[in-house]
Amino acid sequence: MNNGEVTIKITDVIGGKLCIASDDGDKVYQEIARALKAGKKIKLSFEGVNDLTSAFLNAAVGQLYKGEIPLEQISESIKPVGASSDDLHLLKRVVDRAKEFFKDPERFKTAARKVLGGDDA
Amino acid sequence: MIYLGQTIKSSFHGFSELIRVSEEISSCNDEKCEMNFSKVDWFDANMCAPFGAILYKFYVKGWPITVYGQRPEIASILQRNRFLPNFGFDIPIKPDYYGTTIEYKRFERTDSASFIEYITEQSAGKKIPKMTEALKKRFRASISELFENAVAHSQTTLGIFACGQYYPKGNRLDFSVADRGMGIRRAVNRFTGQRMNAVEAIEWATTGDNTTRERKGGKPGGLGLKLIKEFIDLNKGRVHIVSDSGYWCYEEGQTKTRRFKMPFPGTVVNIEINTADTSSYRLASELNPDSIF
Repeated sequence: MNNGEVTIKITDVIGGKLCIASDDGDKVYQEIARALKAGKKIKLSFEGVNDLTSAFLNAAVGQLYKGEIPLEQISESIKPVGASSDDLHLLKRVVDRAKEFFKDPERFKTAARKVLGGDDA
Repeated sequence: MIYLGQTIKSSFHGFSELIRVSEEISSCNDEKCEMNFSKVDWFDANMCAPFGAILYKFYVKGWPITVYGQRPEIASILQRNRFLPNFGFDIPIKPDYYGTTIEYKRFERTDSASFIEYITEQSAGKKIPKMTEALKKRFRASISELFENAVAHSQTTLGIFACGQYYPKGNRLDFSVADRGMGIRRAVNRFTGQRMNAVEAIEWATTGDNTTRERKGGKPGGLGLKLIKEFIDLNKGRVHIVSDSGYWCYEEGQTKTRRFKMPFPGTVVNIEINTADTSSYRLASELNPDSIF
């Protein structure tokens, strides 16, 4: 095994197949962030994952984009393996959204102005 | 004596009834409060989630609420899903012989693990019959998104309430998640600095990429409800959101909104799925794993 590469198996990290809770996603995030900070390449294994939510993925990978780790390093270092087509599509949406979310924070607030204002209920 | 109306369905009228009951219980103060079910001839069992959210506040205060006059068929529904027994009313649990009940349960906001156990248990065996595996998976993911949404946004201290019911005759499965948190209007207005009414706030929260998640050191959000809407579109189901005085219903790509006279004390999301749906839910395009991050 290459010393510069690590496999993070999601089901091992959270101790189950249901990848639902944001708190469990945090555990995966900690593992990924630790490996990235150590300069390692990561195979992020989805093997055995049963259910998967955006809430879990937002925590597990979405918060990688909050600015502590260079985007290029994330892009070059993590490769998902063993993911179903559905899971891969969800992962892609979460990652794309996270990039937007942290790139342009004001965009989300100003979107409110598109909705007509009114009196409080 | 507080009388419940004739029908409590997952509808504007059904939620209005529960809000009225909530207001009337509040006006009991801590005096003995009797809820009379004698007029009720239909109760959508999933509505036990918002009903539980209403009653729980009074329950933890130790207010003496009693139930009275329920017809056998209504009592049976509320015993099979454990709503009445769980509330400490002296009424026994009945077994769910038909396999149509998704048990009423309250969860602490910090206890996602119990919710996961609940989903696993309630999805097993005959609990959710006559659905394809692909549909079951989408359904489980959707209710999990609902729960995590409530965890992330409600800031409730009274817990999160869940309940579901399968209606074989109509090929539908309803599942509701309710909380007694700050509500969508307050969360959205606080975040945006706007002054939206409750319906406008729900519309904002369900549109595009909007989310009230703070960026600073936080996690991204705002995909959960969008994913549910997409699923419901494909499934030809329905979503209700009730929060504060806002009512929002999404069905067949159309949104209907209304305002309640009085507010619901929190938020309810109800999803109704078409259980006869045989879609594979397989996505046509394949993605290259090397281009995800």
